[in-house]
Amino acid sequence: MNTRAASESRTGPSVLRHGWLRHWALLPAIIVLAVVFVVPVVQLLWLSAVDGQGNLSLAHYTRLFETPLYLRVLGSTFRIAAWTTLVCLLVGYPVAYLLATADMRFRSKLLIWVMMPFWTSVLVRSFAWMVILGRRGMLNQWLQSLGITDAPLELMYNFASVVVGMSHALMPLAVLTMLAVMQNIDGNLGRAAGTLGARGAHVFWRIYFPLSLPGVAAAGLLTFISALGFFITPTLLGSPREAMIAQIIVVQIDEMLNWGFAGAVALLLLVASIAVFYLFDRVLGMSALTGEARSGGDGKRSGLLSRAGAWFGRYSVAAMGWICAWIGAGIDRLTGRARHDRPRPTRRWAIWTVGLLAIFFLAAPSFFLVPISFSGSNFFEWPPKGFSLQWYETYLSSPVWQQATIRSVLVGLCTAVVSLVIGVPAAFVLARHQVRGKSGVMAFMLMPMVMPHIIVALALFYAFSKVGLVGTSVGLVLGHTVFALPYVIVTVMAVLRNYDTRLDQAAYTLGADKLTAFRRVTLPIIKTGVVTAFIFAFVKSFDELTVALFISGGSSTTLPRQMWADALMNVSPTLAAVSSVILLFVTLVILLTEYLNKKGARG
Amino acid sequence: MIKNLHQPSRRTAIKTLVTGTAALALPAVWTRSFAAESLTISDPGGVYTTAWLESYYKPFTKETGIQIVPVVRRSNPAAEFKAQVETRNYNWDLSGGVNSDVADLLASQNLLEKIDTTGDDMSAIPAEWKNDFYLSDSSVAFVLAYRSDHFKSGLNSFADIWDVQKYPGRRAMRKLGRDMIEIALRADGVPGGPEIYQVLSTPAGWDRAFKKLDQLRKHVNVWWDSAAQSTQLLQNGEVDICPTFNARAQTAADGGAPVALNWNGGFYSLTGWCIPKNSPKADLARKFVKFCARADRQAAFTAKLPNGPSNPGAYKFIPKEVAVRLPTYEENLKQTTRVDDVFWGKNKAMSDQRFNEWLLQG
Repeated sequence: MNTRAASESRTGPSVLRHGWLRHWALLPAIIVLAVVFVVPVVQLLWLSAVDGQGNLSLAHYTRLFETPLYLRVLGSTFRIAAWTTLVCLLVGYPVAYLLATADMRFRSKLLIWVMMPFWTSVLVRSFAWMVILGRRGMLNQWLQSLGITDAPLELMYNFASVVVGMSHALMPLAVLTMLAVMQNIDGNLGRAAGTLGARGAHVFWRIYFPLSLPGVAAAGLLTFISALGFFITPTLLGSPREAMIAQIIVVQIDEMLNWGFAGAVALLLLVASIAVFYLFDRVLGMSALTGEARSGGDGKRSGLLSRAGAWFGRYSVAAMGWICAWIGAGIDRLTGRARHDRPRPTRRWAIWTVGLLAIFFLAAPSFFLVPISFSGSNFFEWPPKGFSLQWYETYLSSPVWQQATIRSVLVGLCTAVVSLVIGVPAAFVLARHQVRGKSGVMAFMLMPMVMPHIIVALALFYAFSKVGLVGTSVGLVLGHTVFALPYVIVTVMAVLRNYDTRLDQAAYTLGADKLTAFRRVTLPIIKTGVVTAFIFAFVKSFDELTVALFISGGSSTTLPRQMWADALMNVSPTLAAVSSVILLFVTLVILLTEYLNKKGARG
Repeated sequence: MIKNLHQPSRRTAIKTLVTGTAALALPAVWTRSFAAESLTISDPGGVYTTAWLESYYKPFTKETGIQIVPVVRRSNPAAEFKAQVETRNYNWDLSGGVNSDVADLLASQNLLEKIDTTGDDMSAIPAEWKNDFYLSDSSVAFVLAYRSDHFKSGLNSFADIWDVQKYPGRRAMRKLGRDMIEIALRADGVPGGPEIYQVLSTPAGWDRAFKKLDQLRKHVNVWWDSAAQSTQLLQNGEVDICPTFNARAQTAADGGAPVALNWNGGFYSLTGWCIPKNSPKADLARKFVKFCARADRQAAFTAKLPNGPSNPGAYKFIPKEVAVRLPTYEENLKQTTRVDDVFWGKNKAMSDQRFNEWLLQG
């Protein structure tokens, strides 16, 4: 990345003149990450380079490469993450498109369904999938009673079920990231192309699709890197072949107390992820994320890979346009319809079908939790046996559960606010300005996403205990901010990609100062992105277990911690009841906001 | 300049005020802290908390006036012990439900405080259930469990898991090298106990275990990792055979699922209490650990948690129908053997690595 940094300084004269000071807005994010993430984690990872006596030693690394085991697990981790990303993008794109082009009323209703997986803890979600996909699960029961299959199908404990479970968890992330970008695409561009004679297919593939690409790129990056750190879902839904590297790290830390080796494995994961990021940067270019112009003089410095990527992208998009246009024309000829008769939003039924199916996939597991939460039995089972309100009683009458819920909500809100205050300015600088070593800065900001939570939790425990932050909410919020920050930065950057800065300039010309222009012009336009970032940050904190276990100390518990404790012997319907209450609450909040917005708009 | 002259005097005034108030308030503060003497205890959560609340926590408070604050910890607290001792920042004062192998590991790294092993209750505990750093108050057994609706006449031993002709059905096994090797050698005809470790003292013995596992590999439908998962697998009939902890299988059976346990050839390990090194409340914690050695207290937790009490006297207080489900009940104890923590402590890293590689080849 050094050569790139150097070349950027050549192309960016402003950087030479003003240097880093010009980008002071990056500083809060960099300082927070450095103090709360890099320094503590490096101290922990340092253990991987020393032996028991504190002398430098490569023993842990020799062990890492001595057997093919660890590289194989790394390989399977990447394979699972890649498939998950592919599914999330392919299925998520039509959903995001549907949401972006549906009218306002529909959009917020549909959004509620899309975000369903967010509000259920990862543990509960995995058990819900067991109820649905198991041998005596709901799906097999239906298939058999409908006479489609005679014997139960093997739907679980294979590669597919892991990808299904992980896609389910990560698809809302992909959809919302893409949606934030799509909402800023000017619909007039498509209309203009139509006026000039382009078919719907051409309009989509040659205008809309390229404009939505920053969203796709950001969604892909977020999904892929988030997927790398998963391990609860593959452990519960997969077979040993679907081993993921985070699992090995957890075992080394918990069972062997071999933190040195855990550090070595974590570093392997980190280096491999940075390599992927570098490749992403080379092929797609950070421009896909940052909106940095790559034309003109840029061409000279871009490498072979990048040029090949750009070439391939241009031609495949054009090809898709032609193929779809031909198919469309063919269908028109068959149905005997002249091309200009066709209603403009082309074949909405197709997009609605795909979109609704995907939304059903996202919302279904949460829905199964509702009947289970009224079950009379002690287990997650389908169909639920009997009826009882005891699980709601357990939840609603217990002060421990209530305190845990309130605390988790508060910590989540604080985390979201702090990461927005730090992250949004950083995203602005990264998206708008030529920054020396931008790729490096971006890689730096994304690092917390790949670091397994147990490593960060341990590292923070050591760091915080020196300053008395262990057992405080401040410590917990800081810890969660580290995980939330990358999501905020990537999401906001993706929205800014299509933002026309001339709007700000127009505001300045009309006499607005910087703050007013930001408040009255910029913020309303990027609102979706900021709200999305806020939700991501909140959810990251709301479902976080490991840092909470270490940092929140003794007496005060959080919701995931309470759920984990409850699920010790078996996963009881209490967890379904908790999830149902949260679902209801979130839905009410969204509907209320919408109602107030509408009222405000009318008044 | 004037400001500078004034400041010290103001500071002195504040100092005097604070010291004075502190001196006056000292008796109040001191008595309050005495009355509110408390212990923060970390346990695995769930049924452990509810069972210990009735059997240990509340009675202890009643007797000593010391408040107990239960908190949840990770299922394996080793990392928490290490981090707390090294930073001298204690989230909790002692921990229960710690496996004996974890306790050995922690003691070997000098991370534990000594406990008090004197007194009648402590002497009643068998010698191999306690040491200077650790008191085991109960044991958990890993046993053969199966669906009784699928196997009407039942399974008799671990060897039957390998007999797919006679016992067709879906199998779930634990994703842990130690347990799988113990099971494989038993299925291969090695009696449980010292003989297992005799066999494993040579590389050929390890090969023998893995060769046996090779035969089973393609018949295993699920490899489970979290213990709650094994309960779920048995409960909803996802699998028909699933060796697991007695308490986990019992939970499924108690919930009404047709699940049966067979203790033959099973193996047990100990769980108990330890105190992190240099804990500021070590003395109180020692008092509590001693309390956990009492027969009547150990008997009380078995009402909610079918772990085997370590004090043989406990069985005087336990009703027969509960006793027969416990790992230390004489009938059950006879059929099972103890896992050798020392052996596995030495070989865990190697066995895990080899087992994980073996799994990935499947």
